[in-house]
Amino acid sequence: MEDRVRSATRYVADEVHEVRPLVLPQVQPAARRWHPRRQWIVPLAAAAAVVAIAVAVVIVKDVRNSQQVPPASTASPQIPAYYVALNDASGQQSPDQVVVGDTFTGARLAMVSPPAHSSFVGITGAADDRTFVLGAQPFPYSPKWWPVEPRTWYLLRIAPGTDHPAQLARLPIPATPYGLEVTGTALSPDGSEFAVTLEPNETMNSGPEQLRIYSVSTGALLRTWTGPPSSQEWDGYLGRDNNTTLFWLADGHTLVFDYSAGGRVLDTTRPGHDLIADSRPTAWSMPFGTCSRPVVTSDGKTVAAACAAPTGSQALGGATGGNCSVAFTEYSTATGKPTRTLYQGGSCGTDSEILWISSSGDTVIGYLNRAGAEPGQSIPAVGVITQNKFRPLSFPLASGIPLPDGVAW
Amino acid sequence: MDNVHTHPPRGAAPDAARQVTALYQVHALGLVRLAVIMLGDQTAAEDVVQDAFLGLYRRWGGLSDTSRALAYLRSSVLNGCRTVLRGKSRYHQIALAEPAFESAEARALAGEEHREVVAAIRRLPDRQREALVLRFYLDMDEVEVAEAMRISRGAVKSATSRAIAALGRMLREGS
Repeated sequence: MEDRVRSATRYVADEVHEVRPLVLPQVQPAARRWHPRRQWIVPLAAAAAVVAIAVAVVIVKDVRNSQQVPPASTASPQIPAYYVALNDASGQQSPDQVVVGDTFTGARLAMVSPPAHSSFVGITGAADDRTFVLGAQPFPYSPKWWPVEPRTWYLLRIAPGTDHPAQLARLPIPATPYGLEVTGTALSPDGSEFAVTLEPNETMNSGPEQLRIYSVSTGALLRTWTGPPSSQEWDGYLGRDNNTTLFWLADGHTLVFDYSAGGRVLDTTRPGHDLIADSRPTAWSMPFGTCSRPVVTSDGKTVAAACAAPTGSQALGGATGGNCSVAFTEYSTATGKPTRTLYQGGSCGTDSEILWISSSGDTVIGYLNRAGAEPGQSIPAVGVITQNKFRPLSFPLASGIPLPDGVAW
Repeated sequence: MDNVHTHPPRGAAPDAARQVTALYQVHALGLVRLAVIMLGDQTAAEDVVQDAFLGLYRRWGGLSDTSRALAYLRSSVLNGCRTVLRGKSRYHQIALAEPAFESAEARALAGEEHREVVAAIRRLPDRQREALVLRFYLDMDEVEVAEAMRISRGAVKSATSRAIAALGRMLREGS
């Protein structure tokens, strides 16, 4: 198959023989940024640190409300009213901020910049849609190998309708050591504990895979589980600090994590430190390759994914050939069998995702491509799916928010 | 296939326009070919590449390391293709499932298998498609793909293996 890909892509590429000339505007490019010489940094940093420590441990940023956006008025009681999303900077030339938005109106409540010399790279939320943990890493990105840079952690609390809709504070959780990749993050439903999965970078031989739980309030490492050697594939990290590989159930003590071609359930109250021996597999049977990343409901009974499905058929998942649509399909974690299709529609030609799911699985916030008025036209949309209906939301897709791991509700 | 791993030409003119134009002369064709594989439409591919070079030009003065320009351009092209495929901006009428060959002549010349494979690649999720194309079209190793996509090496493995599996399935079902 690899050879077929090589020959086919080169065949298509070779069809292009010339390109049109580059047209540059008659404008001056941006001025070169000031790069302080290294010997200046130490005394300046020392002086600044005295002030910074006093401020940073409590509040790093206190974002004022620029538009006094009122609390969401059209919110459904079941659906979180606010989200926080990475505002992906194109070209890696500027750090990623996060945007706080109203789920239903699309109004932007706040834009939060990362602390100096860092970029936000991950986000996960508690169950209250007001409490989030953000991961940050040094910026500019290392030209060598960015995923293994240390992560520092920040608590973002949002207070819609107030003068200070977003408050960012550095968490006392220790930064991850250089060489470990963050493959999953999850904040407990009550926001008191932060779970993170770490994978050693294969080129650095820095140890086995780990799942750690930290206290949000004290930063203390509460539990650690160790996985198999790094030679085994950890089906996790896909760019940003992923929030779709680790799920904290509503009971507050059970974690479900994405492992290899399925999921495993870990009761964090039970003794043990072996990530595999002390957890049990759960049945995930959706066809990988034709489904989006699976999402687990907080009751732990259901796993759902957006799967390619044949048009005009109620078959669940599995098809990509010919005409097909997307079926937002749920499976029982007990049996692995499909239990229902929440919605079928849209186009299966591009990514579809489940971005949030209710505790029972009755409602999801999903991303899909819908057919436009003209042939071949597809219109991307984020919307609420329930009772086989898709209700579009005013989600700022055009602003470059990476889906699915760049947003948390 | 063009070599798109080279550094910007040494001794390029000091001003941004000349340096960016020189980069364009060296790398534009390879980047357009990359975008055509992703998009199946040369006009859209050229737009994406033009936008990438325009972005580079605007940021040229802020680059701390201009030898990273090609990496920046490649990432910009991948991002641009993602944007196109997500249907936003002015490119939204591209037929994703259609292969690159639009004319009857081109269709007649194109190998049916190649057309099917590339059409199937375009149906893959973003990351799988990008990993596959970078790995097997550009012959980048896993570390290079990981850096270009800003993902881990393990994720490159995962995305690539899933892409291969999905591709095999699609091609079997389509046959």
